[in-house]
Amino acid sequence: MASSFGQSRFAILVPAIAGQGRARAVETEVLAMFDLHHAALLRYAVSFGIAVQDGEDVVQESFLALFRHLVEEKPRDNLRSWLFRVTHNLALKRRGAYSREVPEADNVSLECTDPAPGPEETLLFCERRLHLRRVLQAMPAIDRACLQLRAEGLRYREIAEVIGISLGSVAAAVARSIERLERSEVSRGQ
Amino acid sequence: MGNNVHLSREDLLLLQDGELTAGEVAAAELHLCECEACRALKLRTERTFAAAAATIAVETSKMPEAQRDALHYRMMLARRRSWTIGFATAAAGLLITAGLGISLHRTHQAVVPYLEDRPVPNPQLTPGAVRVMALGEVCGEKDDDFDPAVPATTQQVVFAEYHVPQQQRGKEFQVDYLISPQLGGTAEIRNLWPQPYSTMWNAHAKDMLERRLHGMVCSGSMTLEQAQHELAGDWIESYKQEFKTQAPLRMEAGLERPLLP
Repeated sequence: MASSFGQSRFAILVPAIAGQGRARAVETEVLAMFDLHHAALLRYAVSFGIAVQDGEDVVQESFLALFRHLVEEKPRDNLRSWLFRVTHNLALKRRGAYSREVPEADNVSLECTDPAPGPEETLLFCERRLHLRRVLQAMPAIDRACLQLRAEGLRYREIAEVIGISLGSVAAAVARSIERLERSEVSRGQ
Repeated sequence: MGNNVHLSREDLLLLQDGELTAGEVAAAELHLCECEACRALKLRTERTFAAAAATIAVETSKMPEAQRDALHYRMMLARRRSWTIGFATAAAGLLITAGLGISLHRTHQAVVPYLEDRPVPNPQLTPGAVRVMALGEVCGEKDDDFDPAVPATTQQVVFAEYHVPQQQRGKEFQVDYLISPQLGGTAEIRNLWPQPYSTMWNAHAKDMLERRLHGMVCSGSMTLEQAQHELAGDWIESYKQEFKTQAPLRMEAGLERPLLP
């Protein structure tokens, strides 16, 4: 009798202890993913036109959602796409809230890691970056999101999943974006 | 996609991404060998995209380390909460098995809009944190109420923890030390909470209590640990007991008219 009680007690406590061990392992995994994908996810969140601080909040919530997702042992297929999808939905939601409130004026921009070697190149690079940002902001939301995700290294199939459109629509959106960028480069050169 | 039909940009992009069928790939590659215009379009597309991607990918966060620390802290907190719930459930199971029939309650608290609830420190999020401080250090300097500024990124983490909406941050709340630095409180997230400006029990009232406790510690009528405990527990109740009042003295004197209770 004592033995069966001991066994049942063990059976009750084991899941709680094992769950803690699993959560610790997941924590380490999520932090490793944070190191890999934080910058790209933040850029994507901010591309929706929300403040950088809001973008950081969105990315935090996305990684916390990933933590819960993994602790609950849900599917692990393509977690990078999963993260972008959650960030996409949360950023859209945050963007929606902007229409109901006055946006903060003191929005700070992301930092630019300038790859150019000299001051002249830096100037040219910054001009190009500003120009590109203006062109991107003038694009339809879907086109901009598709180009941004492609620039972050997602495949068209993954982009289709993140945004919830067809593969053909993704290719068409990226093609339109590139055409628009080319036209803007031509008019800038004239 | 016959040999005589030019390739569109979409075709070229899908070809590059490996999304065409084997037959389509063969036809597209054959056409590219024969058509200079399509080769030029392919090259232009690749160059434009590469330039755009290089420009997009250079933007980075200013404070990735702070965000990483915040995420780590929030995951640990979530893990500990689930541990508390899991352990309580397991313990309840054990008690039932033993035939004691004692029910345990969940310790987890539901999230409610912060301002609609009584906006006080949540002991699960803000239990308080202190450093070792000698009495001479506590009483050696004048208690001038100048708390060290909390970094903006830390403030954002605290606001997020308490679910304070972005538009209310800084305007309706300030991030305050639960245990004041003058009484040994540290600038760790565990010792910070969003204090509302507009409530009856606001920063003025808490400052008054902190000064009273500081005085009591330095006069020897209370230990430093007791003072820290008074602030880390229910500071409003402590205020009522210390000042023998049910409302803040500034309000009773007509110096304040709070918007919220």
